[in-house]
Amino acid sequence: MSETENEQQEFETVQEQNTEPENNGEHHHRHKHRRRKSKVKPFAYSVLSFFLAFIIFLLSVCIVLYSTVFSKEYMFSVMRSNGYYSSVSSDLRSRMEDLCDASGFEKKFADEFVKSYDMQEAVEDYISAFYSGDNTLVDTNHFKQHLHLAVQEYTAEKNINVNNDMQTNINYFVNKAADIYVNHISIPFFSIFGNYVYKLRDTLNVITFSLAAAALIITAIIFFTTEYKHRRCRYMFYASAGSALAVLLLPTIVLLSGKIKKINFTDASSYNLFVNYFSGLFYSFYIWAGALAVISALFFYLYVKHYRHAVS
Amino acid sequence: MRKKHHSHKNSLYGKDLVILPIVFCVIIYIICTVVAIASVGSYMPTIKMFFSDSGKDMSENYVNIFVPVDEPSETEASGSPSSPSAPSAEKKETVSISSFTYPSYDNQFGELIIEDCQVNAKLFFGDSSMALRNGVGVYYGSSIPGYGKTILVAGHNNTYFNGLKYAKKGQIIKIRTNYGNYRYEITDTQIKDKNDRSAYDLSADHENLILYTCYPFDELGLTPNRFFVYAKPVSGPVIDKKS
Repeated sequence: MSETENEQQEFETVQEQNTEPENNGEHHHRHKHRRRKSKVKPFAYSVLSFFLAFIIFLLSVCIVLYSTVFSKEYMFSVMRSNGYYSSVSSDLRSRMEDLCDASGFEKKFADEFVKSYDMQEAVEDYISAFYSGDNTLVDTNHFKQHLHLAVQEYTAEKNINVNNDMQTNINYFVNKAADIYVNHISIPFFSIFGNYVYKLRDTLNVITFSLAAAALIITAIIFFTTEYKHRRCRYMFYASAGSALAVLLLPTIVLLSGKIKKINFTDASSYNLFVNYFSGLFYSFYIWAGALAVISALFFYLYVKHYRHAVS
Repeated sequence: MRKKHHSHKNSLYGKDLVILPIVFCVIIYIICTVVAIASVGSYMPTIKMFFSDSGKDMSENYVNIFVPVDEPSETEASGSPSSPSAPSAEKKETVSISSFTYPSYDNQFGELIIEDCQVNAKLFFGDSSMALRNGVGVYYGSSIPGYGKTILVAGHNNTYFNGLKYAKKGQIIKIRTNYGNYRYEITDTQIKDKNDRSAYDLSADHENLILYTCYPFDELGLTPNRFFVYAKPVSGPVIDKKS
């Protein structure tokens, strides 16, 4: 990394330089020595700035992950804003209607049953279990009890006499409905992904704090070992602007690739949830990039201000 | 006493202010790419399986490729009175496989009509939930009319195949497709367990039509039995697979 012509001309002058040197060769030798030293220090600080930029980038990634992927509230907020609960209810109703077509029930039986069942509570209980490390199997007992009651009311209303064979068929119907219910409550890949979320949360905390500490240390080194205020601000500008660019580039690449919309989910509710979830996650990176851009602009302003003060 | 002094002759906006942040960004991404390839590179083929090559169409609408084909006349299509069942070899119609759109999964490509049973349903390729919700579906592992193999068609007993309870030997099943019109004659009906694989032969080398649905009809719950209707071809173009 090279210095600007301005920096190459900077040098410390000591009172001895005000006096005439005894011979020109000795003055030339001291001047050359000071010029060689001033190339190494800026390079070293530039390298420090790079490490600071890298650490800030990783810190930004950790913080975004912590506030999105590792946050139950983020998942719930995406579900609510996406209309996930009503979408799941609608999908479940559609599949239950298909099951009713194959089981002798009228379509409106499925419609009335799904309306009466609290899907939002069931989904949120399932999600909460992942984030707290509890058992993540979908509880079907309540669903089956509810459905059995609904079937009893239906047969009573239609005056249908339920014999043993029919009861066996109805039990099979209820079990099949429970399978459909589980498929709609559980989110594809979540069982694999959710385990990692719970196990890695503590590790992420340690990594985040370590990165923050490293960033503070490097910042302190830059601040307390550089002599001029404008230089501190310039190195901090390099670090913050570099990390802002890196944080900005990550979501841009992913969103432009269009990969998110090509995920292989078969049901519409899970697909829309996934697309909105990861789109929101990557948009969070834009927010961080904006914050880092503001910080780098501030350092640039301070650099200009202190530089002009030093020159005047 | 030391006195520090700066001397600057040029402007303070150097190229480094633009170049260095960009260089930092590039180096960061090179490092991240190398680390990512080293750590998850071997899993990339697996990860790629989670993504399709094109965007997903989540609409519930199906594609309808069925355009009715005109047939000369009912009498000519079903053969002369002296030979009522099979068409004569000399008059066998053919249709080139390249001359029509072969149906894709979940396409409606025809309709199935049994007038004596009041069955009139859209015919889909594939027996997905969407297909059975809107009509009856050809099992994806079987064949299509005219192909010379087993055609296995499913439908719900509560909806489009409810009329199969009136099916009897000798009744005619009409299948109209986007490439030709077919007639089959019911030869038998049977009740079998849903897991009984002897109820159908998908490897048969002669054309035969099998319709099936849940049994008993109009009973609540998922029943363990299936009602099968077997039919033999009467008329319709043979698909020429070589042309």
